[in-house]
Amino acid sequence: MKRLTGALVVEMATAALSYLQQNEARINALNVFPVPDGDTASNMILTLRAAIDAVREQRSLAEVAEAMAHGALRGARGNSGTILSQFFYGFHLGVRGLEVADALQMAKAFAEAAKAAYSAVHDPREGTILTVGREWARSAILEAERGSDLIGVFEAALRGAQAALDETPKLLDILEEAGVVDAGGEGFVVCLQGALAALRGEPAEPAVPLALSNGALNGVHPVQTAQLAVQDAHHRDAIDLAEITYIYCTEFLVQGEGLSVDALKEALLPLGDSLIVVGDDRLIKVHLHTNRPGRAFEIACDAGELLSVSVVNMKEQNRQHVQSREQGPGDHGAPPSGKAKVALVAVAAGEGFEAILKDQGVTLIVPGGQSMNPSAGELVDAIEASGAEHVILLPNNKNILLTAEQASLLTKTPVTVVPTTSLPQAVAAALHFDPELAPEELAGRMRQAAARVRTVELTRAMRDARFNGAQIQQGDVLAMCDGKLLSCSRELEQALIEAVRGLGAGEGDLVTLYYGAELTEDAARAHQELLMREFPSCEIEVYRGGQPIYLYLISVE
Amino acid sequence: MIHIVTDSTSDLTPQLLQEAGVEDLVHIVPLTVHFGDEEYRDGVDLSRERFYQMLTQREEMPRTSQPSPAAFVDVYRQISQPGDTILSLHLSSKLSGTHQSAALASRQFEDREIEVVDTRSVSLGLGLIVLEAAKAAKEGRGKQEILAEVRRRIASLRTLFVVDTLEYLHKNGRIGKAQALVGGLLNVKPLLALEDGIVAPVEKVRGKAKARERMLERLFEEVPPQSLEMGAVLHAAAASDAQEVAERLQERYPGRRFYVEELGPTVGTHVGPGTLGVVVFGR
Repeated sequence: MKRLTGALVVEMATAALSYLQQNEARINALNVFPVPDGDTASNMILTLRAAIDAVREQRSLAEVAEAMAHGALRGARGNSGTILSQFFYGFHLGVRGLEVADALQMAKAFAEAAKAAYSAVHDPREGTILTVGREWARSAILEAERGSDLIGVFEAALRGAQAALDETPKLLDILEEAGVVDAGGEGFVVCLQGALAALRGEPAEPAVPLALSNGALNGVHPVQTAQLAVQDAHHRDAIDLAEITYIYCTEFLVQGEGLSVDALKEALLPLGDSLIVVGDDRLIKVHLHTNRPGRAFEIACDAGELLSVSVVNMKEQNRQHVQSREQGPGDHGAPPSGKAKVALVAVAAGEGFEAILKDQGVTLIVPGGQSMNPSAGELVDAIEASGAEHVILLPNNKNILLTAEQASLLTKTPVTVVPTTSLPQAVAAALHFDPELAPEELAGRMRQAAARVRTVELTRAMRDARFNGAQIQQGDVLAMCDGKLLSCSRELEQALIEAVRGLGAGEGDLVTLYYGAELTEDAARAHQELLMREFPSCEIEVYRGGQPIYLYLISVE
Repeated sequence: MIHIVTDSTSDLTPQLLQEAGVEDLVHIVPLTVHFGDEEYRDGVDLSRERFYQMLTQREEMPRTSQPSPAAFVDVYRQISQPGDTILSLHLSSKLSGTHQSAALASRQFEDREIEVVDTRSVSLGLGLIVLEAAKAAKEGRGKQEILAEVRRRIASLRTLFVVDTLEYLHKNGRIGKAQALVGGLLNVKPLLALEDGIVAPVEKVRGKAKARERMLERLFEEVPPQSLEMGAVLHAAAASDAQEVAERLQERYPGRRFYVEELGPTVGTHVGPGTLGVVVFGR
């Protein structure tokens, strides 16, 4: 009679990871927003990898499960990753004290996992990974009670999960409209398929070859896809400056027709290392470490159009990082001696935002990366590095809310999460920062200040899509507010006007435009003037946000 | 006889003095405004209108200087006889050395009583205290009674204001506790107060309209309708804004008197154009 062992769980998780990696682009594309932001599969992959990497010499099922749970909790990124980490956590609770598990014990542990996932989410919605997980566990229990063995139970559980996944469009309108199933749910099912293959002893497809990391990036999660928080790797402390061979972390999207991932890969390979190329014939993401970013762009330009270009000098980044670590939290504005009473830690993407937030007294910025999805562990590191007695955490993206809550549970430092869902909200909240105030009062004021801010995000649609009843063409400028599409325009100027109008900007209101990395100051000033003419009763301010992906983040107060 | 002396930062216009019937009783010692090498005695050589014109046209920032003790000695001697009493009421000693000049001058006189008072305020905060003191003196009240009244008013005064930019306060060294707000990447309009005679930050606000709103909100919070005696709206080159604020105050505190005046050159130098403020006396 086959039993579930620690070693088997690791094999199953590794196979799950491999399956996920192979389906990464497809699952990421299930994202209902035609916007390259917060990709579900990428986040789940990173979280899963963190779980697997956390297993060292553990032997028993209980020990392995515990190690994986801890790894997953810290490595959790994005909402999907965080929920997945809760599955691991619940599972570990379910197998505590067990050397091995039989079918029924395994099924019960699945139930614990699903329960943990539900309890982690404030307003659990049906039609998401939660529903799939619940049905998965339920099916497992039913089958185990019938006396089936390990494989039988797992197969039944997978069927239950698949059925639930297929139902998700019926449960969530936005899925139905977009014609997709829930991405998190799909990712979960793909994981189960891989795990089942391992359980059956079938050879799973070998995991997609991981990026060849620089020998220098020791102890760091290897880069998985172009859209990862590669910044994570860049900010790790183990980097030895002298060992960085290729200086520029280069990322971009290529858009076109008839694109070939393989051809692009072959052409870019000689330029450096850590090469990742993923996508399809219309849109490809590239990540590369090279000393000649220009050559990479030229090659890409031969294939199609460049989007969302970013080049980061890792050597400089590391110099600054090492410097600031040596100087301690004092470098970031916290008092050099003695513990600060309260410190603000915020997640931000964009140099402009970083500068503004630090200017308002934010002690530490956690880089959000292209997709604004730091791991729970990175948040914990920042919280503890602040050296304060109490930390107020600003997540600044709805995809980070869960991760932020999780981080607050993973550290001894008292943390209050002020649930900001945008960077402009963070600016409004940070304005009220007063280190003399008690943390609760300060958090309350910041919450109120953030709530008074309405934010709109402007970005270009990555692909044609149907969303909220509107037909969107690739390249259209989308205005998103609170996860809803406010407007869709062909031209940026029109989009700006409709966005401000849509936010209900009225007499005496303050409209702030934060322009992204793709725009120049001149362009932004011109847009400011345009809006000043359209809305003469409002005050219009322009600042450089420097954020990736979003042409403008706009706030109205 | 009781004479009243003050300085030009009181922003008391001839009209205000006439209206109260005390134009003969109140003597104003001017501070000096310097534009580069040029010197102008506030209220004597330089009108408000000209000052604000020069402020926007000239590149260099103007400076101010206090009256010397000698100037006070002259005035004290001119306006009074031996045996008279003089009440010399001045702006916050932490904002200017004017009070100190007056105090030094007062020690030169043994044949008359000169009380020098630091009102810890400025502009019509000081000016209204002076007016009330002068009216009391005209009615024939005694020195102690008038002084008690003055001290009561000093304690009940609230001053809140918004500046367009902290540059003027900063460059003239009167920024006080608002030092930390200087610089900064965001276009913050700080809400400020005069507390214990120096400038103190109250709140950081973004947006001019919002800053004005907050100023009024805070005032309304701090001073309920029945507690307000009278007040003034002060501005620097922002007359229509000041009118709107006055109307809001009139709504909230019906039946109370609100003066609306432009800041004189001395105070204007230190806060800059666009400044808007309220001073109120509670009960």
